[in-house]
Parts: sequence; structure tokens; C-alpha cells
Amino acid sequence: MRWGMAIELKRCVGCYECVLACKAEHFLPPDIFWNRLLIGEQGKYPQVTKLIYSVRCNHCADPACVKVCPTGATQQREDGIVWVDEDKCVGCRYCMVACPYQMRSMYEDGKSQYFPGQELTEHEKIGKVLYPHMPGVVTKCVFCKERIDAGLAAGLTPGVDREATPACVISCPTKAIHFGDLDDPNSEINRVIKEKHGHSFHPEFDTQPSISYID
Amino acid sequence: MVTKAKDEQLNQKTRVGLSVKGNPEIWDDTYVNTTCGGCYGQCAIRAHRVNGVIVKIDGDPNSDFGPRGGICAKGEAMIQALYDPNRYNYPLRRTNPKKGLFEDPKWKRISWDEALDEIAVKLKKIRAENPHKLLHGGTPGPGSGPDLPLGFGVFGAVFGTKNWYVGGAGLHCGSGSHMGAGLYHASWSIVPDFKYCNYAIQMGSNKGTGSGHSMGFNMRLAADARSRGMKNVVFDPICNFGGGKATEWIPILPGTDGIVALTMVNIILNELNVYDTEFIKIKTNGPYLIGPDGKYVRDKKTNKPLVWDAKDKKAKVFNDKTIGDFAILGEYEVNGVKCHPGFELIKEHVRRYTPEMAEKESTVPAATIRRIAREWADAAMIGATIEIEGEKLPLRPVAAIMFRGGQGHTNSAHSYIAMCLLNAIVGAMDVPGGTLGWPAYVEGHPETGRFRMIPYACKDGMLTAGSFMEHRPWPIEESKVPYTYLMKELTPTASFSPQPVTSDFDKYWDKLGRPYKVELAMIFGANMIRSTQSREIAEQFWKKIPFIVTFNILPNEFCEGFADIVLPDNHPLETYSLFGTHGPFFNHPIGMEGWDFPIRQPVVEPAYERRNKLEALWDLADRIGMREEMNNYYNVYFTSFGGEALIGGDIDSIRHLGDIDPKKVVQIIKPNEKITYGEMIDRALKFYFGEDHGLDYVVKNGPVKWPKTPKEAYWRWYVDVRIPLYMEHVAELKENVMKNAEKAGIELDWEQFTPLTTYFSPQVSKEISGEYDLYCFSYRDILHNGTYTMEMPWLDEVSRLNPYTYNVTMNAEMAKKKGLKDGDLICLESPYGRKTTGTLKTMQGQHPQTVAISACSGAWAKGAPIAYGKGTNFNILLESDFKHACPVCWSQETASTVKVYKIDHRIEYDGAGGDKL
Amino acid sequence: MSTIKPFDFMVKYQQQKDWIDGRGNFIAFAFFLGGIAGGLFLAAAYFDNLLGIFIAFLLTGLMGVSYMLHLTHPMRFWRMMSKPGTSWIARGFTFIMLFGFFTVITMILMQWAPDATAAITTFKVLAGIFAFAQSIYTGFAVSYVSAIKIWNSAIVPILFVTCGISGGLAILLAVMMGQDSTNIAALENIIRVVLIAFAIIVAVYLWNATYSSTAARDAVIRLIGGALAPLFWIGVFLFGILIPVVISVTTYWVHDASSGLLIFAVVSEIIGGLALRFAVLKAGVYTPLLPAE
Repeated sequence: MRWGMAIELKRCVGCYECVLACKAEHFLPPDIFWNRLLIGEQGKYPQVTKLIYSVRCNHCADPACVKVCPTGATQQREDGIVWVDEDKCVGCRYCMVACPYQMRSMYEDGKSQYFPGQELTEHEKIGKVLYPHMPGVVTKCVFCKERIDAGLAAGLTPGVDREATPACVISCPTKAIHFGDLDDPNSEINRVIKEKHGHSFHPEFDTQPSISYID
Repeated sequence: MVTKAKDEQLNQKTRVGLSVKGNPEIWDDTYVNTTCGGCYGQCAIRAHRVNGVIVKIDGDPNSDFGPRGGICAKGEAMIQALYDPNRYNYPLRRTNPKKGLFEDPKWKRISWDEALDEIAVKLKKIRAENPHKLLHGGTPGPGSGPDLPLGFGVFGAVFGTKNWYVGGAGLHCGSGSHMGAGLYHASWSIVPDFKYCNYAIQMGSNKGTGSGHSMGFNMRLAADARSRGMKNVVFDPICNFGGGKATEWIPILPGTDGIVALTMVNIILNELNVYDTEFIKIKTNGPYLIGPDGKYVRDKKTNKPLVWDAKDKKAKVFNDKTIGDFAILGEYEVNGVKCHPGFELIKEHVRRYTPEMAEKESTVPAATIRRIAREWADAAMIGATIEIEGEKLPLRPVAAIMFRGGQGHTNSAHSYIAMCLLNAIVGAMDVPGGTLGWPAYVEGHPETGRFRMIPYACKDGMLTAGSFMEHRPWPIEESKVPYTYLMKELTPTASFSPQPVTSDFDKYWDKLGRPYKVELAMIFGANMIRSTQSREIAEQFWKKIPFIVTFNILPNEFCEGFADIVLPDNHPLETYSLFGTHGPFFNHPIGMEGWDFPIRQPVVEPAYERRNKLEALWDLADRIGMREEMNNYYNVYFTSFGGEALIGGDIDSIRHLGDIDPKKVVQIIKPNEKITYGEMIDRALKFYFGEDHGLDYVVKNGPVKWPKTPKEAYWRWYVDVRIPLYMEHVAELKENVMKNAEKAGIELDWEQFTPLTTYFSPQVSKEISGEYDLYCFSYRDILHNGTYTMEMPWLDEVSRLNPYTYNVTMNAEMAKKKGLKDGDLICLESPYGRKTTGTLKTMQGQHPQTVAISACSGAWAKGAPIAYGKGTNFNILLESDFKHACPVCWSQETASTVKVYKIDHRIEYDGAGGDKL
Repeated sequence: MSTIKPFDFMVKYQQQKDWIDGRGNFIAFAFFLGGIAGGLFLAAAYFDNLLGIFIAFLLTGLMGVSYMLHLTHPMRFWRMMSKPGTSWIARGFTFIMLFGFFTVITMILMQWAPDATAAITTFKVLAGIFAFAQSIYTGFAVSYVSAIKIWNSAIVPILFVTCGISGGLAILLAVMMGQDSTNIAALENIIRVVLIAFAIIVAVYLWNATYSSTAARDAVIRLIGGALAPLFWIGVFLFGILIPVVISVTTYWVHDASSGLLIFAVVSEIIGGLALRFAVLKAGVYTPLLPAE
């Protein structure tokens, strides 16, 4: 089993909901992003193409971050998900340096708040109970592994059943993100990637990303 | 929804669909079906509440009313507006007598009783003297539930005032498009039938790419269409939202879309000679005979318009059943005058619009216009049919749509109608694949037949909406000498009016002898100072209103600078709302998407003393003895769509409740009954959808749903109605409008009162001269339209990640020519000396002669610290007067001529209370 | 270096910051100290200079401190040895520990059992191996990062170790001048060779980078002509190469250099070595994900 995503660029309109769904799902503190939207343009006036890419950890099959981590905090599960064990991270940032996609961040300021100088919102307060983040460790997208694990335990299929699928996938208003098992030759995601010629970012780094983009 | 059985299978640590770390105690884990309040879209959502706190918003995966399980970032961020520590929690009274842009209100907390008593005393006095002394208005959507037909606007209309000023009025709303879509589609606006359309042209519109009412399901449907391979040609000065997702982006100068559309019409009618003859003959006033005076040649006996029966070779009344063939070309002599079918006149009239001329005006290359016209005509597949659910229907897989940008100019009405002509000549209106209005035809719930709205033919056989908001687009009323502050009655084709918040209002009101003075303004939601044209002009107007009451959830510039009493409204996630809309024609799912009736219910209880606006209005009604009238109105309203069509539901029809026979009204609420909002929703749902579909049902099961029939989705050929391609009513109106205008000293561009759709240069391009060489316009950023967006930290965060949102954009080459570079602080100055500033970001994807700003930016309210100073306030640049308004539909000119230069600080914040910028 | 705008993230060439900004400065120090300590040990061991070895040991200790200051959870430092199989930081940490261990034994033997030559030599060689490893691993830690093209070069470890050795030699020169050693001339000769080699390696490194990839070329441009130019030309070139080379070569011809001049060359060389670490770390840029412009 190896979880992956395929993102259809034609569908995406750049609404940022994938970013906020993730923020809400994991109660991410200010300025911490587990996924981002990269926006740019290509060409010269008047032949211009706007570019919008929803990016997050690629959960590479051969991840550079896992190899450079001196403590084993950054690790890869059987299903390909790369995650950071907060209790093991020393904060050397080697993984952050080594990631060609720059998809990791250090949660430094444990006291940061969304309304600076005012009280914490109810959402922030409950977040500190439901999904606390340890300051001083490296943080990143976990492919919503909690949803996947609980979903599988409940007999659901990630990528098919909402409850077992990553938050950014199910919240996309244009259904631009497909999620599924890359190891299953019959999975919907493999069909989409094959039919629509998915490609990943920076194949030259040879990390074998699990996220494909479809033009 | 998590089922119990599944839940039990889980280990205790993790819950399905919820990311949880460790083993926190969870005593509440609930999804609540409700509707989003982030914009007019009002998507069906499921709010996830854990331990009494809303943790996440999901789209409702089972509802067509939205992105089917998806949601947009604004909807997600509504959580942060709900929990914003800056919210209004108690009624407040201003203690600083001074009012102005930057005045500190010095709020003092008061009780609800004190606030309502004080307002009631004023209301009673005004109602006894002259109800027009109450000015009411606002904008539904921003955080506060719209409840369009129930509260917003209704209170004032029942009260008896005609001074109804909608926030942003001629500015934020599509005056031309609501007029045009109303006339041609019996709908609030138009959209391509994404499911079957193969070729969509957009002019100044982001529909399907993140704005407009119904942004939710439009994003979903448009994505399907793009993925399917629909060609999407977007005429827009900027390649950002609409242009950015286009298969072909065509840069165009602001305000010149009309000439491109007319040129395409010319090429199609006069060069390619492809048009849907049948549609023009049966569905439009194309065959109506027009006399030398530009008006219909009418039957002397019945006064009905005449057409020429080419078979019988004689004139007949348009709806004569014996007509063999409607003539749409040629010259005839009827009633002793030479006359031509309207279509013939249009066809000849558009000959003047050559591609070369259009290129000069719009900068779109002549060859491109020719090519697009040809592609469009080919793609229209005139004559093709399709079978949907056993119904054989015409297939016209082309659509041309326009919204705010394309028609936000002094040529608004003509530009919009020009674009409509494109659809009409190929018959691509409310048929599969073509241009659809939001659903105008609802046969009602299958079990009860209620919630029914059907368009029909009235005056001269023209299309009339079964339900509408604001004025009814048809039949057109008589012009009157202005007697409201809005003066809209002068030109009944106008949708919204910039008056009275203009620089020329006093001139006209003086001339009219100042019939009365507004003493009280009640404003719901909207920001009347930042989201309207020119804050200086607005300041002068609002300063003079003796008493202003606002309902709001969060501090804004208007409340702080001008309100005397602020009433703390509920956030959409803490209240009920029956109608997230005014009805299907406004924002219900289009095409074959199902009927869906989501309601809003509280996900969390309102904290502090926040109250639902509607219930507060009922308290006010009690205090001034108006509850019975309100209840009567509700009964009339519900009855109208559940039985006999008594009123259209528009604001104006509310003012004529007295004319309705009480025996026809179903009594859903007893005359003096004091019910809660929840009870009212329950009764309304039961009345519309049957006893077992009350509030309990919706709370448990989500929206009431039923399938749409092809007849409802594509109603055009099922209803015997026509549309006025030849705008005879404008010619008809002209004389009286001129006469009445003179009494108020109003001068409009009378040339535009022509029945033949014509291109007029927009005011913005007339003001281009010398150093004022650029067009400045605003656009709707996907994150920032329709609500308090910049105050939400998540939206603010991601906006800072966007290269354009908080910056002023310019074409890279043009910036270089002007010696400007990325990151420069620049000042934009209008020829009238109005200035705003911002940080420059250059783009390739922008017309060189333009400067663009994301709308709704540049806040300065002290009570909204996250939004303060973010982005650039575009509206400061705009003028507000009749010179800068479309004479026919009264849309404001929403582009400004500017010169651009570097500056050292943000001068528009000089004097604002917050940080210096 | 102009600060990157949040919206330029991964759209334009993006400078590496985690190992240079804020706490990241300590990584540059650690790399510098590790290199110079290793170099100094090797030089001092060659010349049998106990004081030199002791200073090398102290510098390694400082390197450890610098490391700790860089970590956000320094109390978990022991975990850093967990993954020597794949991580250069883990390997480096192990090298440092072993270097320290063998150096301490060497120093004890040299001080208190100077006759145990066989044992001294054994431990000196063992310590020497880890001194070299400690000096060169910082280069591997950097060059392993394939995401940063200018780092991802086989020349980087050679560059770092050469820089470390030249720095070490310079410090040893100062030590030996203080001790009025007779071997100074021999040491000077080695320094001349190493410095010239260092200059050549820097040149080859940059020249090689310009055609290895666009990202590396972008980094080189930043170094020699962009925002990093002052650091490179003044720090690396002037202090690290030009001044020491000129002084060394001059002393070769003049034969009788003043000790002041030599000390100046030593300090200059150390500054240059530090500047090199900063320059290389700062020049690290990531290839954009979006082909903007």
C-alpha cells in the first residue's frame, strides 16, 4: 500500500481551501502551513498562462528527509506516509534543508496566536487539546494519517470514503485532488495518472514523489 | 455522517473523520447541516462541532447546493469570524457626537430594551409623519444572514418607506446584468450550462472561478466543464481568476466589451448569416413591426403589437394563432406607415460595428474578433437537438456571459444587452448547453406542488419573472418625478441607484424643493462607507443623517464613523435562516442539478447578547404596533409561492399588501402571534413541503431535495414568452423620463435611450488624457468578496502568500516604462484628485493600459485589527454622480482614470486611528 | 540578501535559510570549528605539538556547544547518534565523539606516558582518522543535499577539508611561533602549498557550478556579483586567499618575515575560513517548483 495524490490542474481555481481545510483539521498555528498554493504566471503578454499549484509534502517513496534525519524522528510508514515523531526531533533542521520541495516548517513560537495581543479563540483553545503541536520541532503534512488509520479501522476506503480521506482532498470545491493507493494497479488514482499523464515535480531529485500533477 | 456502528468499531484514540492526537476527552462530536454565510452562494455545509466548539466546516456531500462536499476558503474561515474577539457582543451607543471617516465612536454598552425603545420612539414618530423619512438598506451576506424575503428590506417596506438603499448599490451589484438577466432570463444573472456547453465566452466575469452568487456549485460545474474540454474564451483586462482559467485569455480595455459583442453579432448576422430563425421568430420581439417613431406598430383595436405574417402577407397581432410565418426581415406598410420587423432593424444597425472599429476601441485584434465570432457560430450547432430524460430539446452548446466587470460602466445596459444578443441570435437561452439564468421555473415540490415559481407572458407577450427581488424587470413601470432619495422611479429600467450617496444629490433634491428629510437610517450588515464609491462623498452624506442604526457582527468603518446605535447580530453559524436566498432565480443550482432547499440552523448558541436580526426586528415591530402587518406579509409571501401567486416577492410588491384580498391568503402565522424564528421556519417548511418535512426533518436529514425535470431546467420552449431584443420600452420611456428629469434638473445621456443596442464609450475612457493615461479597475479576488474576509486571520495569511491579492498590479512592460518596479509604494490619482496607494506587483497577464486592485481591500476600522491596512482601497478613486452612471440601468462607472507615481507613505491612512502606514 | 516575499516561495530561486538565519548561524560556526579543529589536530599531530592537539580538542568542544545552541531540543542531543547509517549529522556526531575520545587518550599518553610511542602512535592515528572525518563530514553533510545544486558537488567536502586544514595549519603556525619552534619554515612551506591548493579548489568549485545547473549558476551569480558578493570577495577571497597567499609567498622570497605579518596571515585565514562556510551556506538556493518567468 502506498498512498498518493493526483492533482488536476485544469480543475483547480486557486481558492486556497486545501490550505485552510488543513489548517482547520490540524489546528495549525499562525504561519505554519502543511500545504500551500503556489501562484505564478508563464509567458509574455499577451500569451500568458496563470499557474496554480497546490503543493504539500510529496511523501516520496525515497525521501531525502528520512535519510538525513539523525534521530529517526522523521520516518516513513509502511504505507509511504512520512511523518515526524515530535518526541524524537532535536530540531537540527537537516530535513528542512534537504527537502527539495521545502515542505517542512519549524514550529518555533509556541505562543503565536491568530489575533495577536487578544485572547485565544475557542478554535485555538480546543486545538491545543485535540491536536497539540510541540514547539521546537519540525512539522509537516501527514496525509491526514489519523483519518486514514481510523477510517481503515472502521472498514472504510481512503480516497473513496470521505471520513477516511485527507481533509484537503474532500474539501476541494472543484474535485481537483484524487487520493488513493498507488500500489493498487486498479485504483482510481492510478487510472487517472495513467490516462491523463500525471507527472511530478522535480523528478531529477529522484525521490519518487507520491503526488502527481495533471496538466 | 459517522454512524454509531462504525463509531463503536474504532479504537478510542481516534475518531473517524477527525484528526486527534493523544487521548483527549470528547463528549460532543457532531455534524450539523446548515448553510454557509460567507457570501450570496449560501452553500449547504456541515459544521463539525467538537466539545461545543466548531472545529471545521465541510461541504454537504449530498447536496447540489454547493460544491458537493467541497467548500471554499471563505466558508472555512467563517469559523474565525464567529470566534473573532473583536465582535460586537452587546448593543452599543455612540457617545462621540462627531461623525466622520476616522472618528472614534466611543461606544457605551446599553441594553437591548434601551436600544430598541429608543429606535421605536423614532420609528413611531416617522411613521406618523412620513414613512419615507426612514432610509433602510444594507447588503445581505456579509456574516449576517440575508433572509432576503423575510427581514432584509421587508421591515422597511412594510413600514412604508420607499427609501431602500442597497449597500454598494450601483457599485457592487450588476445593475445592467440584473436588468438584462431579468428581462431575458427572468433571473438574477446568467451562467453557461456547464454540463453541455462546449464554448463559453466570458466578459468581465469570474463565474465558475470563484466569485459571484453561487460560486460554490459554479466552481464545481465549471471544473467539470474544463476537464471535459469546454473551450472558455475570457475577455478581461487581467489574466487572474476568469482569465487565468481560460483556454484563451483575450486582454481588453475596461468598458469596451459591448463593442466586441456587437461586432460579433454583426459578423454572425451579416457575414456568416447563421442565426436561429425559429428562436428569433417565436421567442423574441424580432418579428414585431417597428414604425418610423421607433415604437411598435400596434393593432388599433387591441393595442397589441403587430407582426407580419409572411404566409398570409398581412399584419396580425403577435399572438394570433393563425400566423403562418413570422417575417423578421423586410419592409412593410401597416396602419399607413412604413415599418420593419425589429430584427431587421437590429441586423442593419449592427453593420456599423466593424472588427477594425472594435479593435480601435477595445484593443482586441480585428482578426481575433472575426475568429471568435466564427468559432462561436460554428459551435452553436443551430438546429441540433438532444434528448434528456426522454425530452427532446434544442442543443445550443454555446454561452456568452457577463457580470460585474463587463457591465460596471456608464454603458452598462447596452453592453450587457449586446452580450445577450449574442446568445439570442443563436437561440442559446435556457436550452441545453446554452446560457442559463439561475432557475426561473420551479413547478414546486412533487408532493405538495408548493414552492412554485413560473415565468409567464404579460404586457406585449414579454417574459415576466414569477419571482424577483428589487424592481421587477417586466413589465416596466411608468417614469415618475423623483420622490425618493434614490430617485430610481425616474428611470424604471434601473436596478440599483447610486443616489443619494452622490456629489450631485443635493442639487436635484433642492430643485425638487426638498420634499422631506431622512431622519433615521437602518442599515443591515453592509459597509456603507468602504464598499461604496468615494468615501469622501459618502462621508458628507452619512454625516448629515441625524440617527443611524446598524446591525452588524464585526466593527467596520461605517459603524465606527457614523452609527449611533450598533446592534450585535448573529453570525451565520449561531442562528437560523429560512432563505439563504431570495429564491431559485437568485442562487439555486442550475441546469439539471437537483432542487435543494437547505436551511440554516445554529451550530452553537449565540454568546453574549448577540441576537438574530429578524427577531430583533419583530421586537421593534411590536413596539411600534407593526407586528400584525409583518405577519400578514409573511402569510402573503408564503402563500404566493405555495398557492396563488399574489406577489412577486420583490420589495415593491410588499408595499402594496393592502390591495390583496385577505381571503386568498393562507394564514400560516396568526395576526398577532409572536412566534420565534425557529417556529416560523418549521411552519414554512411544512407548508411548502408537507407535514413530515418540517424543521425536525431538516435538522435530522439535511436539506429537502427533489429532482429537477428537464422542463424546469430548460424551460424556454415550454413557456410561451418572448424577450425584447428590440428595446422598444426604452424608446417608449424616453419622453417621460426626460420630462420628469427636467423637474429635478437631472441631465442624463439621452442618446443612450435608444431601442437599438449601441456601443457608447464608457466615461472612464473619456477621461483618459495626458498624464492620466491608465485605466484602474478592481476585481474580485477569490478570497475577498462577499464577507468580512480580510479580518479573518486565515484568509489574511493566505492572501499574503498570494502575489496579487494585497498588491496593486500593473503590466510589467508598462511599469518599466514608468520607471516602477515590484515592491514600490505607488500612488494612484484620479483626474478629480482622489488618491489611493499600494504596493506594486507587476504581471505579464495584464492589459498594459490598466492598473488593477483586488476589491474590498484597504480597511481602516480600528475595531478590525487584522484587516487594517491590508491591500488597497480602490473605491476611494471613484466618482459618484449621474455623469458617472449608466443612464438606463444606473450602474456606476467602476473604473477610474489614473496617473501613477511613487510615493513615500500611504496617504489615505493619514488621520486614521491605527498604525501609521 | 533581500528577504523573500511569502508569495515568492518556491516560485523563484529561494535561498536556504534554516542553516544560516537565526539559530542557523550556529551551524555555520559548528562547521567552521569542526573543520578547523580537525585540520589543527592533523597538523599538530604531524608536528607532535601537544598544545596544538589540545587547542584542537577545545575547538571541537566549542563546535559541540555551537551545535547545541543550534538545536531547539538540545537535551535530546543523544538521539543524534541514532541513524549513522544514512544521516551525515548522525555520522558527524559520532565522529566528533570518537575524535574527542581518542584525542583525550592521545593527550594523556603524550603528557604522562611519553615513552609509550606505539600506543601514542596508535591513538594518534585513530584520533587523526576521526579528526579528518570530523573535518570532512561537514562537507558531506552539505554536499549530500541534492536539493541545493551548489552544495551537491563532490568538491564541497574537499573544499571544506582543505579550508579546515589550512585554518588548522595557520593556528598551528601561531602556536609554534609562540613556542619559538624550529619547524616553522617546514610548516610555512606546507601552508603555501595548501593555500594555493585551496584557492584552486575554490575556483574550480565555482567554475564547475556555473555549468552544472541553473540553480547552481544562480547561486554563483549571487556569490560573485549579487548580494553575497561582499562576503565572498572580502571574506573568502581577500581574507581567505589573497592576504594569506601574498604573505606566504612574500615570506618565501624575503625569508625573514616578521611574526606580526604571519599572525596577520593566520587571523586572515581564519576569517576567510569562517566566511567560506557562511558564503556556501548562504549561497544555497532551491530550484523553484513553478517555472516562473
